[in-house]
Amino acid sequence: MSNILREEEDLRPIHFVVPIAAIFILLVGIFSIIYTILDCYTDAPGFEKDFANLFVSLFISLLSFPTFLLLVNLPFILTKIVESIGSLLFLISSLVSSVLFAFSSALNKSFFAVLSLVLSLFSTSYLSLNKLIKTAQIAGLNLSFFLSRTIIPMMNFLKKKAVFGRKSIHLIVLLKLFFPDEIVAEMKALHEKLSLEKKSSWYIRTKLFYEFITLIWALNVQIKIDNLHLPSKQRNVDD
Amino acid sequence: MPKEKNDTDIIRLSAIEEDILTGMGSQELYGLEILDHLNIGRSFELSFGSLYPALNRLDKKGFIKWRWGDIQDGSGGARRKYYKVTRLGSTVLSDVQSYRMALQARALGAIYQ
Repeated sequence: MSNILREEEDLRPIHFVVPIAAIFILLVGIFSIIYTILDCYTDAPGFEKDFANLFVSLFISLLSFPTFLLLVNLPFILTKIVESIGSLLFLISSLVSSVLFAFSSALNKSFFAVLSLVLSLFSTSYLSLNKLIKTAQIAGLNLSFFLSRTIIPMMNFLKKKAVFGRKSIHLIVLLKLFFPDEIVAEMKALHEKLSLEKKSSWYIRTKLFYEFITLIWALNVQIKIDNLHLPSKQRNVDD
Repeated sequence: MPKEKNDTDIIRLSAIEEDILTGMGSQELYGLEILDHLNIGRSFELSFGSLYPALNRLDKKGFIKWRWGDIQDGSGGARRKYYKVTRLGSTVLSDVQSYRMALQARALGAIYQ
């Protein structure tokens, strides 16, 4: 308990980062829209086309996920968060990639675009899932409002990973990305049941894959369509 | 103008819904147990992809209720949902089954007449 409290206290000073990042993105967006409109519909002097394009491109690149992560984690980079060369490289290359992307669109230079793409691919592929989780864990309180169904449950789960084997971790992390809790528990139970029945690993994988695909369809399409004509039900989680 | 809900839409039971209610009886079961009950001697196996939409419909119609179970070991903190047939569910099921028995009796009566 004391550890949790200490972590929360440590993270408290950076709560202002997300609103600031959001306001910054919003302001750049508003300016880019204004400049684009002025550029297209008026002959007002001083509004150069490249300048307007630069704002639009900057706005688009700021919306990219690596850049958002970068903005959220910026205070940590400046203070004490640079834990490894890997995360530092990721953060720097994200920033450089975004800026290059903005310039490439604005100036119509394909060289910048290619360089941006290469750097972007490098930065996102370099960061494995564990690194991403670690980054999110550092900024857990900031990210929780929009990652509550993906990264945060995975983080909570990975804290307990010492108990389980490595393969199970990957399977369950994958399941937790797509499915609610009860489905993850059921799939795990199915996996255990098939293993106990001494089914071949090929059969187990095929069966789990089939269940995975049908569940994706059922949860995201079929149930949503069914709910359109079913009565809504007001209830608490633990009724 | 919004379409009014028809009560018959709500109490209508599909084949799989009827199977689930029958298979569950008065027990409290989680998804895999329900599947195991249903798949014994079945010509084609049901999967979670068929089960969960049916459970959702039954839940929305008020024929089953559920509660969270304990956290399962090895499932990363995931919890099972335990489902149980409500009184409304068992009443509707017995109505449907009585109708089927009456139907069968009429059909047999017609054959032997």
